[in-house]
Amino acid sequence: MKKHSKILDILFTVAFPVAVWLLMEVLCLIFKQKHVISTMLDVKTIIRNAGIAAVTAFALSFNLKEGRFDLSLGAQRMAGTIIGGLIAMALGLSGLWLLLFAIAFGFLFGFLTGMAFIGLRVPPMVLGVGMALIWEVVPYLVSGGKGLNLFGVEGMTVLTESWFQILVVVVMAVLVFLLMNYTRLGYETKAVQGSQLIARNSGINIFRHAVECYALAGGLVAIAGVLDVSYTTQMAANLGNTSNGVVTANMFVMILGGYIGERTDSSVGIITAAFTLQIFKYGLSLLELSDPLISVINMLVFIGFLVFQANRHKVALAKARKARIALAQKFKAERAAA
Amino acid sequence: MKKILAIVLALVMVLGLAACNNNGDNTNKKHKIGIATVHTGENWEIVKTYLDTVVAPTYGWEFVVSETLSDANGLIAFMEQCYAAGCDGFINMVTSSDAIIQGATKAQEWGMWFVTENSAYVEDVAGLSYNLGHCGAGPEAVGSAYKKAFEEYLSDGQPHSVILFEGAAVGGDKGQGAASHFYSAVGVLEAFQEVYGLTYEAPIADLVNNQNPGEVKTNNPDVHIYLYPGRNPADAVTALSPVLQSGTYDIFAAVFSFAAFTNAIDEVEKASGKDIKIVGTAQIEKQTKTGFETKDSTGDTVLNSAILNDLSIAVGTKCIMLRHAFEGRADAMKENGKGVFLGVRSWAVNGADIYAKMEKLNTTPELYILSADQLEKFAKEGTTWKDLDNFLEEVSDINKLLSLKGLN
Repeated sequence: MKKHSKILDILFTVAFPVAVWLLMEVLCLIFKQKHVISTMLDVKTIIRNAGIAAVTAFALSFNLKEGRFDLSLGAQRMAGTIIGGLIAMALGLSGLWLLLFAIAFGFLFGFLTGMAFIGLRVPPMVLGVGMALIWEVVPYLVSGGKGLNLFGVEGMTVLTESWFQILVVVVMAVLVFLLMNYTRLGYETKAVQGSQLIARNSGINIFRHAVECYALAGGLVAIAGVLDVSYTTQMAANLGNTSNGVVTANMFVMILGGYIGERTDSSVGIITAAFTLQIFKYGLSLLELSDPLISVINMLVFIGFLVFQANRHKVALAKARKARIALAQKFKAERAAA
Repeated sequence: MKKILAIVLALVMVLGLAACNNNGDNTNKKHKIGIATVHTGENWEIVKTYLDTVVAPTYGWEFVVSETLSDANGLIAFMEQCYAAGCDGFINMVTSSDAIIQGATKAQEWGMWFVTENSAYVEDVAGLSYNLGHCGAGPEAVGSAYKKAFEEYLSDGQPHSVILFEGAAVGGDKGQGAASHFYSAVGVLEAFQEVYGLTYEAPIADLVNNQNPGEVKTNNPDVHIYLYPGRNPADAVTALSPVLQSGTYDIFAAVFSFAAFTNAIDEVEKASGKDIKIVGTAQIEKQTKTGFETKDSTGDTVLNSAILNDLSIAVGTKCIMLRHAFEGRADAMKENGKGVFLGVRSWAVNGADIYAKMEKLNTTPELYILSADQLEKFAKEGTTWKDLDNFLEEVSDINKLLSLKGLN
């Protein structure tokens, strides 16, 4: 990979949210005579939503970047959050405990999904659909179909505090950064992302590694669930494989984060991508577009980015080809002259 | 020997299948009712308890309840299971027109009595003999309740402004969205129009049927109305955050999921020191009680007014309709041979004191609006759909309802 200076890398990273903010600021000023960010509450809203998106994207990235698309992540999020929440509420504990219980249960459901994966060797997407249907039933039964309702529950206010949410996201980002760069898991992840076969032949226990990825993803996605429910106050115990939409909605964050992270680090990239896309979405809301239209615009941008990702090497290839032809022509001309 | 055995077994099978054909008298048969639900949460659990503890023992029925469904495909798949399980009655809560049409057509094919929970009347299948029609939140009644609640707020002589989360209001008058959401929005706009003498730039129905969120031109600089159509409260919370922060609006109304907005509103109240009243469609459940009892940062209650619906009365009414059909009196539940629409009226509850009485409903078998006695009473021969409609009208008055249940 081409090496750039640190300053250029930082500028490249910061350019994404700044460029999107400028674009939306201009559009909002032209069409609505409004600023994208007018008050501290706007900042808080963007931070909160970006935090939830970033944590979900971290969770997705653990398996997806290794070719395993876990379609039960949404169900793990729902099961971890609802069961953790119900236990914390039953014991009269605070929001912090709710978060810890949710992480523990998310981790457990992720671990069990991973064990099912290595035990059954079913393709991950097929397994994900089946496990999602199972995990969706668990919170439904535990809550008696009621789901989790934090409306008016004492002791949960800490979860809605911006400082707490920022702290959670920063801790998660640091944790993921450390895990991916300074631990065996990170080393194995890079190896498996390169080639699973070579990784296995090199002595990496790819099955244990898969279970670790599933478990970590489950724990992380439960954090996103808690951050979400703390603000909207309720999470329904939905059945019928309807729980994964909130997770897959953050696929763009993960993929854009991967691109931005090429110049810095994947955790920095994902957080930057989450902020970039939240500013974009917030700007579209300020333009008073309908929900379906906002979804269409988001998806078009996503597809456009995927097209760019799939073809960006072509520019470099064309440049190299041009240089090669120029060199050959020069050589031919020199020989003719000689 | 093998041939004889094969012939005997084949005969047993044929006779067994013939025995399955049941065209005879079924008055002593234990009826099985399939219920396709779209509901979840505490309110739905109250209904399930009602079915198990009140309807099932009173009518001697058995219920087969679906998981949460969302579309016609899910409905038909569940109906097939119910038919195979021997259900002869079906309560459908999937409200899209295509689901109702497909469901009623399938029920007709199978000879299964069919009744739908919906706020709009679907004419296409109303003439099918096994389709008993609809019973759901009466859309005009919900609109009237909203209008009433808002007229009380706006009658203080001060200019007020509202943000209305309209839910699935768009197309609700054309069988595309939710009719109750549509008429809720209409009720709010009518209340503003009448109290402040506003002249809107377009007919109210056109304003509500606009997909894009935005401010309605009221031609009164002191009165602002912001309409937000959308089915996802989480997206709406984010999108409405800057609108709430503008400081222009002092009332927020949500046609569903009011609780999802309370944190966002509280943040704005804390930042601006301004009280924003919340009006929301709600059910008789713990969440509504919490809303009326919890104080926000300005010292006011979190929920100021509730447009209350009760799902159990709607389900109970549908069970009465099915009971008449089972007893051979389906025509009593029809008008000119067509399925009817019975609208459950909503209650406008402006304050915690009235809600404190209403919340006692549905807490014991006797305190369901359609308790065992009422179910027996309305199942008697001679009862028609008009009697049920009159009852729904009677209990639309909060005082009459509370007196009927001994809660006044």
